[in-house]
Amino acid sequence: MLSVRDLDVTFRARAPVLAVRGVSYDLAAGEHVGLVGESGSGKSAGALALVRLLPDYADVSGRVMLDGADLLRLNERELRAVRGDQVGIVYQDPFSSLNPVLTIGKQLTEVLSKHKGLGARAARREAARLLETVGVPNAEERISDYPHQFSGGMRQRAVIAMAVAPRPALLIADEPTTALDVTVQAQILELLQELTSEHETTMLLITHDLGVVAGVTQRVMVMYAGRIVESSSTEDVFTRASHPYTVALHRSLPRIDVRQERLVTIEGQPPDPTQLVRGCPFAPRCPSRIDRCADEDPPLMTIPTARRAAARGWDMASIREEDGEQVPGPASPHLTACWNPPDPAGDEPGPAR
Amino acid sequence: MSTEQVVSPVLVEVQDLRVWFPAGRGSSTKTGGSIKAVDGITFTVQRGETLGLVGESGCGKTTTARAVLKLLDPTEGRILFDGVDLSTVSRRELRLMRRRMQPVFQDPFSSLNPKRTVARIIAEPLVIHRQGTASERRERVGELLDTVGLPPDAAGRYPHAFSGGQRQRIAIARAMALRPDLIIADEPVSALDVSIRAQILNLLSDLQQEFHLTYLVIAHDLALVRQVTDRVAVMYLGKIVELRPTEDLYRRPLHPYTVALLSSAPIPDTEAEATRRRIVLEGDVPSPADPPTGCRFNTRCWLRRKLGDPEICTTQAPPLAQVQDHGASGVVACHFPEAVEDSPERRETLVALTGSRVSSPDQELPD
Ligand SMILES: Nc1ncnc2c1ncn2[C@@H]1O[C@H](COP(=O)(O)OP(=O)(O)O)[C@@H](O)[C@H]1O
Ligand SMILES: Nc1ncnc2c1ncn2[C@@H]1O[C@H](COP(=O)(O)OP(=O)(O)O)[C@@H](O)[C@H]1O
Ligand code: SF4
Ligand code: SF4
Ligand SMILES: [Mg+2]
Ligand SMILES: [Mg+2]
Repeated sequence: MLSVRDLDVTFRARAPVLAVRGVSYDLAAGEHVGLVGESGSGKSAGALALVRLLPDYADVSGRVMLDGADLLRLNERELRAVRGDQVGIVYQDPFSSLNPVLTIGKQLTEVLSKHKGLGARAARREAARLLETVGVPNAEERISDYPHQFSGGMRQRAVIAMAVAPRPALLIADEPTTALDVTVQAQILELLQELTSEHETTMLLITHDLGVVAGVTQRVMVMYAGRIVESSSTEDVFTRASHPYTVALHRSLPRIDVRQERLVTIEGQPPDPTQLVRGCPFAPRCPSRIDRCADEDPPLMTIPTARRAAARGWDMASIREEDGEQVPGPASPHLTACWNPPDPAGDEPGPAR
Repeated sequence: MSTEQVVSPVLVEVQDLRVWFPAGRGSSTKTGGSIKAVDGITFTVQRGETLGLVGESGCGKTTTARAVLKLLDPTEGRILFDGVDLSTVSRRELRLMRRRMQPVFQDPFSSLNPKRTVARIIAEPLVIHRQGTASERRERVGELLDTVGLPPDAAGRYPHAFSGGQRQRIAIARAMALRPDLIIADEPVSALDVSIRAQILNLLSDLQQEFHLTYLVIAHDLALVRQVTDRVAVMYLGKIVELRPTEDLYRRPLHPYTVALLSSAPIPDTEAEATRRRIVLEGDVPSPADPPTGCRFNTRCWLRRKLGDPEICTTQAPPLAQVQDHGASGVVACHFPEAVEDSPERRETLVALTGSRVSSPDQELPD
């Protein structure tokens, strides 16, 4: 349904920021996929680039095929039709999608008349119904409220209502619950889950919080330093994480089920995004580092391929031959961009001990 | 302090603290009422312990912290620091007190002046409190940088040259400059990346050991709170609803709101997430300008509904009462804590948390 190839995003600045590096993946219709990584790893830049919502000084290259059209080659008018109609977006801060001087009802009816061609009366009725569906109590009355009169959770519900109103095929939710309290976060995730399942909407759920994707997604892609470094089923990412970064991330999460003697840290920091990295970007922090890591940036490979490639010193070209073009997608196997993936079944402690 | 004096274990005592703000324009209370940000809370912070303050945004955590730091004046109630009532001390004494308690804020980007060198930022409290000569201060800055794990050459650089985690180290160094007894940290790691959080928390824990610090830590991540606190106060709408030793709270929560919070916490485990049933709190937190009568949690309480809406929940505010549970201690403010204890909701919540695959085998299951 959506097919992204070799996506690069660079912010032009005195020192250009290499935000996204060669990202490729496929999304199938109706799938819920998590994009996880710490801040600055390129999640938002990569997602906003799909519908070209980045500022002018962002250079975007690659291919983004949605229903046969390359979104990176559409003109502004065609793009506007895609945003909203085919792709809905929910941001972390609901205010960024709302106009503070218009009532919630007015904004919803605008979306409905624009994308569904409803008349004024019908649009208003539909707006109230939608608000009701997303769990805003007394929707009939609240529809005349302004955004600031809504609580944070209710505002996010209204934004979700606007994003799903045109029944988009793809919903990009960029940290939709990060600004919310835990009790509200759980409700919003449930709501997203419900709405997207009902209409078989594809959802790309972006978050820095591994816990958020556990209940809502089928697949997860982990980003580090602008790259996808691991891709697997959600289940695998929790039980058989195979990239050292993902493993370290799991272990550094404080556990709610037990008190630990001491928190496990990942020493060091992610690389400076203005510097070209030679070799694997995680190498300076990686406990599994081997010689090859310093020179060659590992591509996404299956785990057996990664092991054999490292052991036999295969070059990139022969890896591609052996492993095929490995692109994260609905049917792809567990992939890792690592020359020496720790063995979750062996002595190397994986996340599940 | 003379040596023969018995040192009280209590460093901070907050008695029936109220902080009300005048309700601004556009508020729904026509009576010109007040925002009851903190509305009658009582707690102590023991010397050397870490007390956690948790609750959803707007429940009054930051206001409580600011009152303890005397950055604002209480509407009612008293705050005693080391036995001295902060509202009655002279300006001079207050200055001395202030040295002994230092804040660390959430956002290391806005809390550090971008135009000052790190050395100047860290030395600032020393300058304000006229401590030492310039060269002594320079030496102290060097010491502090080392204490928080920053290289000596950080002194001459500006905040923008540092990552979020490093900036929080700078903020901690500044807080440590006057050798305080109490550090009040308001969401000290929530602006930081997951992979950096543990570094800062471990640093805080090392400093506590080494310098016998007392911490009041505000946080909303319940997993993190379990790791770093000795006791936890759960706040809701300006009140403390439960205050317990940390392990007691997580193993045997007794307030319906605490159970709901635990039930909402995301678990990094697909199976636990797939099978758990969450307690969904309906509606929003009511406005602190117009809190519900009786128990403040009554508009959203799952237990009240289960019990068939007992009248007492809407007529009488439950006092913070001693926990009556075999061996457990602490206080809870609910009329029916024993009903929480027996509820399947609590059991299911605890099983979801402890039964998650990440749990260690020796972990006892709740009964
Ligand atoms: N508008 C922008 N201008 C310049 N740099 C940007 C902009 N947006 C993001 N960046 C940079 O690009 C990198 C990736 O950012 P982003 O995609 O926002 O990360 P994430 O969403 O994973 O937190 C970061 O280094 C960030 O500082
Ligand atoms: N200076 C102020 N003036 C008016 N209202 C305030 C002020 N500071 C906080 N409040 C209100 O008091 C309540 C508690 O706020 P706060 O202590 O910041 O909560 P928390 O830190 O738990 O999120 C909120 O409703 C907030 O809007
Ligand atoms: S490629 Fe090497 S440095 Fe990179 S994550 Fe794998 S083992 Fe670590
Ligand atoms: S007193 Fe009543 S409303 Fe309040 S928490 Fe207990 S059961 Fe719920
Ligand atoms: Mg982002
Ligand atoms: Mg606060």
